[in-house]
Amino acid sequence: MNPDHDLEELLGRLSPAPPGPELMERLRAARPPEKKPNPFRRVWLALPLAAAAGVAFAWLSQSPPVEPLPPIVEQPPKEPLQPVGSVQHLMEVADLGIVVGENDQPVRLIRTRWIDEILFAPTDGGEPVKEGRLREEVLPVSLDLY
Amino acid sequence: MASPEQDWNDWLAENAARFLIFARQQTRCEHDAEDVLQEALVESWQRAGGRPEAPLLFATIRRRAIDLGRSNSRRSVREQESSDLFTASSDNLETAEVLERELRRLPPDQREVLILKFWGGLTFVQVGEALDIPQGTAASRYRLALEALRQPLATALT
Repeated sequence: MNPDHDLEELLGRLSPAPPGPELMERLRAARPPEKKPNPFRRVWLALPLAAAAGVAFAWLSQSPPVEPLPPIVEQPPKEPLQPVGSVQHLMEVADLGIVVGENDQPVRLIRTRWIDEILFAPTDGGEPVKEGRLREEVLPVSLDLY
Repeated sequence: MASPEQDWNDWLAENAARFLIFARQQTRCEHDAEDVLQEALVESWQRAGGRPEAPLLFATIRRRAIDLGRSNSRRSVREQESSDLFTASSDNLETAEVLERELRRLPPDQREVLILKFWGGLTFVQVGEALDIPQGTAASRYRLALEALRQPLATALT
């Protein structure tokens, strides 16, 4: 049971005094104005978008028109250099192991690395040009069976 | 559906009394209470876009009263004018007089909780929201206020 029940009941007999007529009239007159949608607000929101669209349109309209691509005409490849010789240099040999090859015969695999020097000579008779290319090969080496 | 003007007027008629008694308790004079009340009503209504929640409005009244108190601190402080806080039937006029006198003697933090809880119609949770205090603190202040009022109102209670 609420020990303050009697006191609360007593206080409940009293009500807050209402505002006087003058104050009530003043409060009624102070009613906040309604918030009406501002038509200019939409304009302000749309302005940046319209400006961006206008700039994009102007930029696109000022760009040079895209010219059609010229038709592809097959032309004979020019070969100003002709290979005239090559030299192979064996740089590395590595034993990769023995595997079973065709006919169930054991085969040793060897990896070799080469540098191929290719000599090119200009077709118009100028100085020859040398080009180096790295080449790697895995070679099967048959094993002798006893 | 009621027009906005009618809604405002209805809301005032239903609630102005409980907001006014709190404004009176928070300010130093009747004039300040009326100013604070009007400003808080308008501000809260505008913020809520219509009828505001009661705890929000009580909190706005309190904040406005504090701001006004600060701005008035350098001026001559006017005494609280005597004004009737309550309406009572002829049987309870004496009780109303005693209660008004004793309310002014209560510590402000107890008095504001009692007014919000009893005549403001708020729950302890809402009182806590309005005053920015824990719910338990609001309840204990309410209990202390009732204890303080029990003795002066003993005659009326018998």
